[in-house]
Amino acid sequence: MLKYGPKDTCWAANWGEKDEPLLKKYFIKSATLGRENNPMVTEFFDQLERKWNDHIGILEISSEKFEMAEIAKTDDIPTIQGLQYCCRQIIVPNLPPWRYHGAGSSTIEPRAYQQRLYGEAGTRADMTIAGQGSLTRSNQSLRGVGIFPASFPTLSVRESAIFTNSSGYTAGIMLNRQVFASNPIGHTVNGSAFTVATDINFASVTTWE
Amino acid sequence: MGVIQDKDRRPRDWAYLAEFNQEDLPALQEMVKHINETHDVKTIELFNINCERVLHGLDPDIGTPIPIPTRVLKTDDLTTNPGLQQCINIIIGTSSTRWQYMGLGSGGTTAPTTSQTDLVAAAAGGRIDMAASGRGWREAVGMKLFFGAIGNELAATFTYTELGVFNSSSGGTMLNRNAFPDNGLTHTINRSASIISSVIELCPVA
Repeated sequence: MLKYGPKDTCWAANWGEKDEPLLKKYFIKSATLGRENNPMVTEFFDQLERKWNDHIGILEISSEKFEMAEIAKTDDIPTIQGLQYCCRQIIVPNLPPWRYHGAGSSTIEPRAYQQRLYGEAGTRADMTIAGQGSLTRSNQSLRGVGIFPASFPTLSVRESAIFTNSSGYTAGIMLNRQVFASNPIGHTVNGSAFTVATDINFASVTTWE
Repeated sequence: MGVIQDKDRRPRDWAYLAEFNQEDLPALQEMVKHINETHDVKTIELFNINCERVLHGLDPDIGTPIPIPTRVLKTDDLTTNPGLQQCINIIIGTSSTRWQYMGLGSGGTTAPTTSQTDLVAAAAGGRIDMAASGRGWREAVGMKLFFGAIGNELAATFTYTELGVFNSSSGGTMLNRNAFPDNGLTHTINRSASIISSVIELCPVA
């Protein structure tokens, strides 16, 4: 039989030192193209994967090009609580949406039951504000991008997650937890902006048990 | 000898077609209305367990007031890609059109695929509105979505061999398609009632 279930993939990327305005401009423009199969979000994820595969990861906005400096990638899983909440959202109207992207430095292995980042730093990116990221659908995938400014505190970006709440863990839900244990990216305050991009694929896994 | 690994072979989308005697209809309607009004998901799970017990030839009476089906069919099938896309649209808030209608048909010999957008041969009389009081349920429990609908004894004589959950009374998006290619459930007007129960599970894949 076909096995189902959401599958989670995440990329963390450092950008050039002067690229933060272009990065924000790119997502402000992207927000004007809708939230379903958005071509600029597709291009963004394509470039992340290109960089991961040792090619140049480059984007262009208003005839200006900007390039990724460093990338990390990991495959993890959504949390049980996160998927339960997705099921409730599918049935029950007016629940708070997934909105915030957080980043931290803990190397604790991800587990489906976890409900927090263990070394979270700084302020979560609000994906509903175009200059801070985006939350869109691409075919059968939910795609969240968080833009973390150069002013974000210094850390090795080893974990990330999507939340319903802007801070804390006692209220709200965490959708997933991603850990870049063996290949983190480094961030220095007032150096350059970094992004964390998550793709949760809900499609059937087409392998047979 | 080491530990024998018990592989998870549960399907992620399955459905029951359950047939009842006409005299059970008031109790069925009471059960559906109870679920509809109180969101008592335990009753749905007990109903599905009863279906499993009938399927496996076990005594279905497990001390509950839930009517006992005279016959049950089960199938493990597919959530469609357009259905999953609509689920994500609801999750991210670009759509608020939720799953509300149960469609039945007779095209069960055509195998389900993820790209299908409608039943192969929809039954006349339209889809059942699961949101109408006493006609069905739509509940989220854990990582599962439960959908159910009651077909009353006045529905036209028909052999059901496929079903799907929709977000519109006509057209719209089909969430899943379940087919019973070998043996459908023959409903006879003024004689039998039926319950259609559909389950979708979003279990994470490691």
